[in-house]
Amino acid sequence: MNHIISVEGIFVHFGGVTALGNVSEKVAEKSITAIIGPNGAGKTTLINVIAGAILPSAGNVIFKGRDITQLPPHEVAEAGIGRTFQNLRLFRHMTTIENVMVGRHIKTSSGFLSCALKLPSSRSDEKAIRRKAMEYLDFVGLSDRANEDALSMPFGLQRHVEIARALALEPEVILLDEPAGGLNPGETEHLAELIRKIRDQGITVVLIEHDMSLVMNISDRIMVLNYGQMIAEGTPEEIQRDDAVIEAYLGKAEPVRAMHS
Amino acid sequence: MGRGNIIGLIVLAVLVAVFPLVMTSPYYLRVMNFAGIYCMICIGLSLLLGYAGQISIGQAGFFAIGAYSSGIFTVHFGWNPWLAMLVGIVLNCIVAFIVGTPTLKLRGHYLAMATLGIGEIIHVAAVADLEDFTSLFQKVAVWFGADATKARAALEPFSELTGGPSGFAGIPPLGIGAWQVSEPWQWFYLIWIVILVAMALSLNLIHSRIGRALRAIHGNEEAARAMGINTAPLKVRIFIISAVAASIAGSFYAHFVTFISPDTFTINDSILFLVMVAVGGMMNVWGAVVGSLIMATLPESLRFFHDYDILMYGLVLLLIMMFMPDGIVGLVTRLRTGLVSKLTR
Amino acid sequence: MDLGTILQYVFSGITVGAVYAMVGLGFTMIYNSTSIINLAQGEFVMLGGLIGVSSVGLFKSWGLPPYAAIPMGFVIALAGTTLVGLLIEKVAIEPTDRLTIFHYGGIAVVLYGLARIVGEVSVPVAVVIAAVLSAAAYWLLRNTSVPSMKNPSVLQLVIITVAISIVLRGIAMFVFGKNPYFMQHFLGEDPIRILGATVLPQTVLIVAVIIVVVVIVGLFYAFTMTGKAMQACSFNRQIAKLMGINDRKMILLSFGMSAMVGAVAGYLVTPITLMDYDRGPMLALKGFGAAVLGGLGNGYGAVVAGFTLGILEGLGTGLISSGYKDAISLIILLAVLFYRPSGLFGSTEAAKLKEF
Repeated sequence: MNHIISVEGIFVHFGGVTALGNVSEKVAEKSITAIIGPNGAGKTTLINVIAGAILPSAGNVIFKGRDITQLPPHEVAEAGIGRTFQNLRLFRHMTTIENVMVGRHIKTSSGFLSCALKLPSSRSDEKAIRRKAMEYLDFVGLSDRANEDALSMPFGLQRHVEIARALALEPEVILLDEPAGGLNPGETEHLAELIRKIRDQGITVVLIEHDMSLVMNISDRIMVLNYGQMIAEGTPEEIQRDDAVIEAYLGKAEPVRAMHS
Repeated sequence: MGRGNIIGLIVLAVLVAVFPLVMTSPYYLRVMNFAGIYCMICIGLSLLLGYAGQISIGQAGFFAIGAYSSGIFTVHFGWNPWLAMLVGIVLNCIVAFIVGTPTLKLRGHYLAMATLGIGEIIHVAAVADLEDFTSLFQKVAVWFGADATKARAALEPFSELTGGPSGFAGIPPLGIGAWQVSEPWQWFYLIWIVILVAMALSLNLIHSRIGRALRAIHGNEEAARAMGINTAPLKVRIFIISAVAASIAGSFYAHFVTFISPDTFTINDSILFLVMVAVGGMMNVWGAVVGSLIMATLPESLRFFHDYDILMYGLVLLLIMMFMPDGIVGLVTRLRTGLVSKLTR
Repeated sequence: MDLGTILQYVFSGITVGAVYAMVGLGFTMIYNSTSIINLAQGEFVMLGGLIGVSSVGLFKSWGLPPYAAIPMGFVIALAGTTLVGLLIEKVAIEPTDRLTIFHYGGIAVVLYGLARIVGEVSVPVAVVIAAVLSAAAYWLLRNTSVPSMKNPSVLQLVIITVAISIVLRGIAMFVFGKNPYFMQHFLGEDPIRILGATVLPQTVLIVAVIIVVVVIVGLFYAFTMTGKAMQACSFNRQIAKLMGINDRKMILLSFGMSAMVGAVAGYLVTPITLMDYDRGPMLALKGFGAAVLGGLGNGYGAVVAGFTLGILEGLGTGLISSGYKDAISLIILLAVLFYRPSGLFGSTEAAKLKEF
């Protein structure tokens, strides 16, 4: 099995705080991997390290055999890793489809001059961009809301727009940061379907989530962080039984065992 | 580009074509010519401010470089005015590149302050007395080991370069061959046709991949980078474009007024341009047109150093930025969409 | 060139350096709590000087002797400028849901100006028109939140501070006129001889007071609950709010304090450099240079950098040329922005791109 992304010995220090300590993990191609853990465990920090938004104090990020640790965010995106944001970063003052069209930026190359003069190359680029963006909106089920102002949409749908935007990059890996945040159970189920659809397209999914039913439902592998350390990783079944995980979430295991005995 | 914008351009083109035929008074033409020159600067500033989301408080500096280039090279060296304008543009590109490249990697405040600083430096250079410059040049030359009197003599041909605090006059008119742009109506057509072209190019740019990338940067720069957009070079390029716009405006100004002095190019003017764009509406390049037209045609607003004006402009800018950050154009757009949705109920 | 002359330039530089230091400190305080650069910072210095001179003049006209008038003037200048700082924050920086009396006042002045300039009506008529229309606006908008300022972006706020600086300048020009104001030296004008150079007692006083101010501010931040709360706010506003800290109050406080330090410098420096309504922008620019040179966010760094900048400017004026004196500071500012935006004592992380 090919490991499309691996992080090796990642340390991140902020001032006196160690946000991530010696985190290592390999992510299999075309799988769904979840990162879980209590608040402040360092999950988003890890995503930011992979995406190039944070430079780790030590350690490496290897993507398809290439060390991308030092790459800035836009080069990471170009390399084939897309992402969404925990607190939604849709572009203000732009419609839904325009937001997704930005995702096609690196797939085209018309420059200032050809755009200002509206040369044929820029016009055909524009048509192609719009068509493709529509496809991605369709994929997430929002093609009928293409021309609405992105930030005026209901929260749950905004999340879908962000996902469509990241997919427009045609990434091989997509990083989803708490995509189910603020969704009700019905919407969460819909999201699970969407994530499976993404995986079926051949895209590797790495997601941070708090919604345990979602995580246990769709993940192939789970890694658990607490206080910046990786305390467990394995299949959903293994994680559910892991003492360290239970302790991190619920406190000492003793009372639980006492109830069962 | 969108139907609305195309219609807007056509309407503007018709108005431009017809205006001098209807309003033959040289006074009104002059007012509109000044409005047009400011409009050029504002279009550049609007692209920078509204679409890339960066503040420049130094457009007057670029304006000055354009004007002084045109003035100096035509008056002191007898060059062709168009060539002088080109030199001004090139100089501005270099300055904008040097100032923009390091500062646009950082937070927006840095560009705001850097542009304020460069505008001031340019102003100081323009105002500086001949004596100051000569003595500075002498000191530097002596430091390098040259002879003091020889250094001073070498500077003779370049004397009166900028004319110091009082500026200089006698700038020849623009023209091609024997035909010269000297009448107000000729200037009107020249200036406003250039504006039409600039608007068309800008609108094309805005509705293209590049324009979207710029709007993405303004909308959320971190997300734009996550989408693969290399934001810093893009911002520098749009900054350079805004400098070029101000440069051309400055050159036109020099040939139009035939006299330039450092007083035309102060921080207050940079702020004036900011107010024009804000009042018109920063998020829309038509705001540049609306804002400059309004501000340039209010009777005494051309003479900026009138006592109450400063306070007025400050209050207008303040109130607009607080409550109407989309300016007049934004207000009209919101009213129109509100009206449309009411009518289609 | 002997030590005495060089020292002379240094001493003259210390005087302006003190102002740059206080402006830089003021920038830092507001930046730390709000992430915005208050481009009206220089106006606080100007107001400190002008309000101070006017009140001292007033007290003297009441027959008060200088040793009473000067300290009282100091208090008034400080209080007045701080009040302005607080007002600015309340009216123009804080997000609002509806217009307050101050906003309507501003609208009234704009209407008055429009009536005079566009309508070209006489003063009484313009006043009436402005009053009537403002009242109408109040009645219309009273129950709506249509004009509101919610979630202003950093870009908006920075431009707002530019506007505020213009407004303050305009008001100052209106109230104080365009001519520079002069105040007598506090400790007499007999120069003190040091190492072949002379230094004015006022300069010594300035340095002494500034050191006291910096110490007080430092103690405030380090040892008082409010000071620590403000520090918490600047590290991470979200978490500070969750801890129960009223972030709006912290911002208000930072504006007040920043105005106060600026006023101190303005008041003390006026006897030497005079003060006029237009001094603000250049001071803001150089003060920002000091703040950046010291490392944006580092208060002590800003103070040290401010003095450094002043001394360099003093040396430059003497050794190179006086016409280009302003250019020296500005070139240093640009050089710092270009090559080492983290400044001498700051961190590169602080300078990197975030929201704006």
